[in-house]
Amino acid sequence: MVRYKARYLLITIYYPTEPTPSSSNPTLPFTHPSHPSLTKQSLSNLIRDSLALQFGDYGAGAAGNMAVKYFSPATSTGIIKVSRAHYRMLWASLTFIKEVLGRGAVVTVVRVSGTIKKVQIEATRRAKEGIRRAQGVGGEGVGLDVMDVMGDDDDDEGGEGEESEGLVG
Amino acid sequence: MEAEMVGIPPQSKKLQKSSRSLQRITIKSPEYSYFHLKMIFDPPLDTAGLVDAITWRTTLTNSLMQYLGVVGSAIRIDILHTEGEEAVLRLPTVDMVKFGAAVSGFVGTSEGRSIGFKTLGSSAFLMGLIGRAREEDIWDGFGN
Repeated sequence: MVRYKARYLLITIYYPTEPTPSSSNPTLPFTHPSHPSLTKQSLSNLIRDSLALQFGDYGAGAAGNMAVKYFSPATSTGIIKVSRAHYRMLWASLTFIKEVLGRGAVVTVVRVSGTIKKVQIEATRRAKEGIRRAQGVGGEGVGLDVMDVMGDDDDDEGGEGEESEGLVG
Repeated sequence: MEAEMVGIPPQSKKLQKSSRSLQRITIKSPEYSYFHLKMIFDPPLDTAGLVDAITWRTTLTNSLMQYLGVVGSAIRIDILHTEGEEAVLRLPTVDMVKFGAAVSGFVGTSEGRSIGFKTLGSSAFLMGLIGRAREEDIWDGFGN
């Protein structure tokens, strides 16, 4: 039985065209919370549109078997699952995204892994790092509920004992 | 085209003089490949059908854009020669398969006509495209 191999991409959405709010953390430039209407479904539609535009019918079909496993509008961080054979095509179409819900945006892939567990670990590590830096600089807490990064679904984690490739952005 | 001398077997000194004029050259990975396409129309064009290079360019771009998107439409296609409803194109060998797929499955419309492509031949060498017209004659007599 041939196993279905996937890749999990940890992404962050930045909004570099917007002025940094005075209350935000100077050590985390360009980070803005996304609009609450940017849900997993709407982000998935955005990505599929980009895939169809950049890579046509072929791309939409090949990498279309993708799912947004997690997305938090507060931290603009998300996890996308895509088949291993076409993850670079999906990565490229993420790179080509210019705006999200009318705001100029940049989508960066922070980490790629074969298991969702490693990606989750990386996401919590980055969140903690952000808090640590914020507290170190300002002396005050960031005030964001960043520890609630892994609130929801933890599916298909059990059967995937695969190797992971580390790509730290 | 880059040519490499590959695996010329060692020759005995006796034969070397006479076989000096014979060389074996292997071209491993040609940079470009060539396509011979025909544009087909439904309903067909008038008997003196002529398709200019601009129509070729726009129709090819449309077919690539549909199947392969913006990235696919950036495939470098050179229109080497157009004649009647046929054209000879050159494109990078790495894009050959995808281009072939895009062109085969394309259906477009223009001025009330449906447009499609028929691949008359494809080859890594221009010479491989000529002399193929007779292949069509195989089907003469069937279904007539």
